Amino acid sequence: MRRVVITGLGVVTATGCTIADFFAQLLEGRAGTRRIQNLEPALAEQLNCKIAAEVLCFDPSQHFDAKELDQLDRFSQFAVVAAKQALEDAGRGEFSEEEQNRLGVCVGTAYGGIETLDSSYFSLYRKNASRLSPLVLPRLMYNAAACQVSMRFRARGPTLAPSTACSSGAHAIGEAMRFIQHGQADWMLAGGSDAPITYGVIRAWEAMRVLAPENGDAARACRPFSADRRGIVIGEGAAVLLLEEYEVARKRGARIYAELAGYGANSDASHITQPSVEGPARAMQLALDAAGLNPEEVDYINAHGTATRVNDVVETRAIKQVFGARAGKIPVSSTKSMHGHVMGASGAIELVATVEALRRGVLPPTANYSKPDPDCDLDYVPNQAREQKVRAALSNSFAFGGLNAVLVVKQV
Amino acid sequence: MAMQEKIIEAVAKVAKRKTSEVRLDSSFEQLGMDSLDRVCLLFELEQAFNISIPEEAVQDIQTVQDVVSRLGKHMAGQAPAPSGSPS
Repeated sequence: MRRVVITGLGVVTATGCTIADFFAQLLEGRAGTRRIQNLEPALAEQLNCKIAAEVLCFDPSQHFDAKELDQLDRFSQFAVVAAKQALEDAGRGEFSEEEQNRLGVCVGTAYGGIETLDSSYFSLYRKNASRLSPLVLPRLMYNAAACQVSMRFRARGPTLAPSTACSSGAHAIGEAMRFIQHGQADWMLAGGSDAPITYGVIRAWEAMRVLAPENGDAARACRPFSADRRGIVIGEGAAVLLLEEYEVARKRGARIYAELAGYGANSDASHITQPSVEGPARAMQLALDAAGLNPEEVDYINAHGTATRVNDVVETRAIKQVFGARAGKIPVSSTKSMHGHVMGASGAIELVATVEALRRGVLPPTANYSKPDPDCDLDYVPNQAREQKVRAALSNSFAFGGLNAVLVVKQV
Repeated sequence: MAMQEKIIEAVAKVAKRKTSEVRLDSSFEQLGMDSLDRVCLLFELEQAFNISIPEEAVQDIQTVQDVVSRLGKHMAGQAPAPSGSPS
């Protein structure tokens, strides 16, 4: 089977809109969760939840002209900009016509163009608008971001948009990996994008009763694995990675960040919101098996770590089930404490954090950790970044619906 | 002419041009407008005139002048029929 390596990274997040800014802020343990600024004040006022991880370092007009902006929902804008960064970072330059046929795109999303949908339905239902713009449909469709990336960079290879809630980004990268492994592409722009900070989405999450209620202390609101954790902070953003076939990358003398060595995907097949221990554990084991690694070789796990009561306990148990006695010796951190829960982009953003940890030999902490929970008793890298050599690392994503996706990266 | 000006404004908005760049004999092709821009233009015109434009009223429009004449005809046809006309 052909090997797949990561040669380019791009991010648009609440903790930075370049890879350097993003990872520097994670290492500082500084959260990008803040009071919501971009919602219409009259609507924001009606929300109980006043905080989110909004992307404030992103100015659409710097990247797109007026005509392009008409056609791009915010989630597509994020994806295109992250993909552009990844290509520039990879130093690939122009792809020839023939190469363009071997360049594919896989951008996952949980919400698609929800901002477009939310605002158009608002005008239909609330303001009794008599018609909608023809651009509503091309903006809101779930594959819009993937298509916009494909068009922008003339990627004519396999292009798709997995939507598996909070595992979308991880599934997208795992599926993209397969296209290269099986010889259907030599390069894939793979990742996830979501811009779900809308009135309707936040109301729906409020109803689930899993949002962190600390409106007055936004930066400390998300506290994964800490005994005093109260829930999720919703985020927005995107991450796109350039995946490249190993020999192709080696021949052009590419800087290789890591090998994308394994992917495990499965389903709990049990409950629409309550995760199982067995499903996530089996997904981690599948990913390790695919990578040909044994538990002793794993030096870091970037957790799903949502900071809900249930997830963090279940994930801890699943890690113990897979790694046994070694579980307590593997550092596990949740960067969601800082960039928020970016839904369909989370898996991609967190894989970027994992790759950076591996190549630089320094682990991003779990920010806002304050109190040990007897049910969460692993090493969560509390609050302080830690220098450590990483031979191989896991990135976990577990979605509502019980859909699990685990990615493994290792040193080449 | 109010109607013509409104149409030119709508075309300019969709084509992202200045109104001075849009002439009656400008074709959509010259203005860089594709098939999606064409439906966007019809949406803008429906908004501007608060009317509904059926597809058959605007078949084969290629130029700004085509829009002016077809729309003029369509809107005249939509005017209340004079009393006593055959039903």
